[in-house]
Amino acid sequence: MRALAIALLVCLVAYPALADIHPHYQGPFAVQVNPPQVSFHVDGPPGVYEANVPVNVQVTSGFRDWSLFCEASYLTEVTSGVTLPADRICLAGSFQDTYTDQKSLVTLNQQVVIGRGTFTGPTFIDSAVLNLKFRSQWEDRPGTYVGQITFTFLATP
Amino acid sequence: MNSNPIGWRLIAGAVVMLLLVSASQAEDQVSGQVGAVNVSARIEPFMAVSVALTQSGRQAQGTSTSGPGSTTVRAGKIGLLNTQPTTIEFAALEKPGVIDADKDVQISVASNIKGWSVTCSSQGLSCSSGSIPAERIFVKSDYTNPAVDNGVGLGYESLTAPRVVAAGSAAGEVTHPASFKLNVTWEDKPGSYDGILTFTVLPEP
Repeated sequence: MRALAIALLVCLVAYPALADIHPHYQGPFAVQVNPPQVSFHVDGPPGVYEANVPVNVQVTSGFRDWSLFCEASYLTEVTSGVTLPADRICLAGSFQDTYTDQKSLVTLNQQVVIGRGTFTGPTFIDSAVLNLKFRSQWEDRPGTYVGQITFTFLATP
Repeated sequence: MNSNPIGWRLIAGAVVMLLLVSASQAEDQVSGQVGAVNVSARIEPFMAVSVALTQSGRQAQGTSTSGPGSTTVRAGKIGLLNTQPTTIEFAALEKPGVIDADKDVQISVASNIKGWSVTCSSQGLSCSSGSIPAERIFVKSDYTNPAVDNGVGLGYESLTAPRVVAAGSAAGEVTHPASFKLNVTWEDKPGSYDGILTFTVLPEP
């Protein structure tokens, strides 16, 4: 009987965790980016060129712990189909170094953390301002290239 | 320890369940794509050209980037290279004949254009007492015909017409040398003759 009682006690202790197996999603996660399009004009020798505008990223989260990432796709020339690798797109600084080193460039050929946070409530809050850069090389043929920067989140409910 | 095996099994089962719950909770995360920004990049045709001099007969000193006095040229426009003061001299101090220039010219081009060429031309030399036509100025480069012989040396072509002295078919930076000679005759009156060698960049469409 004593062992049975101990087992029941253990199960009672475990109950809150058992309840978390099927977490209750306390709200969605959404991102607003403004503007939704940026452009670069490379009109000189190889180097780093800034986007026409910075991108303001706002987040609303019902999750208690979240991280926001961004990643660039490769760029495709609209007429020839020639591609440029995603590492041409960079960020000045990164979330990891809290933008203290504006001179360093983080290439977006892989996911880069741009924000972390917790519950925000129903309103959007400022999460990051992205100063996007394009790093050109002599090998980059003239033309108009298009691509996309995607945002993904990872959250713990 | 073995007094109540059923009880101990229950306890062990509960502990295992707890561990499993903890593990599943630790891995229980949510992710997904939540937005995107469209990106466009317009890359303009670009060329950077510089002309430098080396002592006659020396090889090019590697590649050269555009530096002070260099001229940048947008594709579709013809670039007239008037870089830093660069003067080559033909010292015809003795009897007439074929005179080597005192310096070679190094033409450095960096470009993101697939094809381009640089030509050299001249209107000849002149002074107050006379003139020397361009047909008596000769150039030799990687792009002049190495078999041509106009009596001044193999590979030297007359500047009766613009001559290609550099060309590129791939992006990047390249340097090409060019050597010059002048044919001085008995008919040329003594004097200090001046003229201009014009280098023209021709981006190919």
